[in-house]
Amino acid sequence: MKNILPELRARRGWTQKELAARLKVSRQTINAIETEFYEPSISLAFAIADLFEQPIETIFRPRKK
Amino acid sequence: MLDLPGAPLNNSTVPPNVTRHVAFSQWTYWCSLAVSALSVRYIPAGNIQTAVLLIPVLAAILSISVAYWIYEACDEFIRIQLLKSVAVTAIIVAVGTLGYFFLELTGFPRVSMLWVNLVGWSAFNLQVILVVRRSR
Repeated sequence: MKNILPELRARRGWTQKELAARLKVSRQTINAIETEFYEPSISLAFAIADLFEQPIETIFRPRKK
Repeated sequence: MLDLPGAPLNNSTVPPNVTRHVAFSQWTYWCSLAVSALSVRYIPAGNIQTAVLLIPVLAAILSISVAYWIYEACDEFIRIQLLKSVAVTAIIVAVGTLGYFFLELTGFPRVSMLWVNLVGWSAFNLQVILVVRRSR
């Protein structure tokens, strides 16, 4: 799953640590999502979408085959 | 910096002092094992000896409780990493015991099953410390 989390975060000038704190997850979790090493749970994806005020499908997109 | 809605800043996703808690539970476990092993030599057979022999079970429960507390206190990604640690521990124990089984056939000294437990817990606790410390 691809995501635009790094761009959204950069637009707000947040560090990974700041974003992690706002989402109540660890910095390593944010790093893993941004590097597409880990796909977040639905509840975390909703929390991310809510925080950035964007629909989930705008932030997360399936990889094209 | 824009102040958008979101959870207030806090660092509660990784439990504090994990190394200390894990090290203490591991150390308690080792000490209780030593006491238990020595009790066979120094305490005459009876109820007291049986009670002392069972002390490591309490220490094991402490270790399990600490591991569970750490698991519950971590976020979803770290939990997956901790579960991977369980899998790695299982592999280490499985490969180690299988390997040593064949070594015993070639004349290596027979060792107690307790060593499996000791090595397994030590390997798991070490991984828990590494996973949690890396997440900071």
